[in-house]
Amino acid sequence: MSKQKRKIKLGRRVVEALDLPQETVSGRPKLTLQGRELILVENHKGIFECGESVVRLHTSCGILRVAGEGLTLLELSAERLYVTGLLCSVEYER
Amino acid sequence: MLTGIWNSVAGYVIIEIKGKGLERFLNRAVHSGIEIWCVRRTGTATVTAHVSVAGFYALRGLMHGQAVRIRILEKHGLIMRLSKLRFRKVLLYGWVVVLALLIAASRRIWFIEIEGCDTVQEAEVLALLDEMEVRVGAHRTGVPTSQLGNALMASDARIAWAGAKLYGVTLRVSLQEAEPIPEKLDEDGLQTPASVYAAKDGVITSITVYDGKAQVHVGDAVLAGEELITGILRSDEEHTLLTRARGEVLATVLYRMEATVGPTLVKPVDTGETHESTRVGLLGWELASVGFTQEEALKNAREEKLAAYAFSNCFLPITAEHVRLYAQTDEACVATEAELKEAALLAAEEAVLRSMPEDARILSKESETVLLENGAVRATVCITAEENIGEIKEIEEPYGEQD
Repeated sequence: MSKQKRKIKLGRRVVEALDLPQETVSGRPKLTLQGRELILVENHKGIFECGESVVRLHTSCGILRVAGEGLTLLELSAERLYVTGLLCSVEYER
Repeated sequence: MLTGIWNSVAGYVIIEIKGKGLERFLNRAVHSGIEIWCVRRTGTATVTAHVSVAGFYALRGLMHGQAVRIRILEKHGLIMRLSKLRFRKVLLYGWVVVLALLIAASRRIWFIEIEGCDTVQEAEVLALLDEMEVRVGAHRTGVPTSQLGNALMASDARIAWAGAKLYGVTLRVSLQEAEPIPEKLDEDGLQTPASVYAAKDGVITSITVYDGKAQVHVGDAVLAGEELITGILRSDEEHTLLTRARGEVLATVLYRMEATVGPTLVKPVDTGETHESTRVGLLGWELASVGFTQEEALKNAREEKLAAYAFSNCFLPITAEHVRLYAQTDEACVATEAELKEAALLAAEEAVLRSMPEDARILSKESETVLLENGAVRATVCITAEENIGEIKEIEEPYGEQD
């Protein structure tokens, strides 16, 4: 078992023991959808594509695809990202 | 929301980023800590974004080695608006002058508010302040507000307490006036020892002693001449302590008066002489009269209105009336019982009111009439009134308890 995997395992155990949110340690993306107009993506790894009808984001789980109309990156930072517009679908690409 | 307010103050620009690898450029900018918001694709190779002023300059540093170009589309925020004014030097100097004037003016007193003035006039207080070099336009730092109150109290005996406080350019002076000290001196200006005695018979309803010692209580019946408040505070072998007793002693006093009228009554009687006249009036005032005589007999004549005309539709309301005057003279004549009763009651009541002081408060009134054998009517009026019955009299030697 490599050092990094050991660290992740240890981290998971600590998170479970302390009852902390999983995404704080694991770096998994957290999506919060507010109606059809706003989606908050936390723990993203960067923008893969930024279009008017599609926004694709790098995450630790793969590429997240947000489809809709008139999409805008309302707030952009290294940790989180707001996408607004008329949302149609949110999915991970295979 | 706070970020939005801050950006509108600090300023931001709307930029257009054009070129290849826009996403890569945006990722680099984000990882460099540059604030970018409202990123929107506008074309195949262009996006627009909002970025702070500092972020815009940082973005230019990231452009090296990237196939992108940045162009400012719009500038927003207070800083941007103000930066447009930097070439209008006169305006800037004007602002500087205004600011300097404001600062200079705010270091002086421009308003003086005085509260609590009743007997002491505001102008007097302002004059006192002026003597202390506290006036409109005076330097704020030169006004010793802590000492101002004491100085005002010392300068006028009517001021019991005074305080001053600065509110910006307003000096607020609060006063508390002293209660006026009751005049203690007698008519001659002397402090002769005296006691308060009852001037009339009555029942005490209230007693307020200013000086001296009360000798009676509420509810006591007192006779005229009885001592109500004594001015002898102490009188023994060692000391004699005297004062000029003062106080207000209210008591209910009964007034009873009789008046007899009749059997004849003096009444105005027509002499038979008549006179006709016309008079013109405007707004209730008599403008002119035609045919009026100046004879004494017609001065108090009975008047009979024969005709009256009112021109109320005119611009000025004019009235005209035609009257007949009957000359009258006073004669003793036989009167009815009712007339006699009325006259007797009136006479008795007038007699009572004449004997009462003006400040007396009437509590109740009773009256009765009796028809006498000779045809006259006797009326009796009883009035109960409340009044101050205290009467100050000097104390005569030897001092001590009077039997």
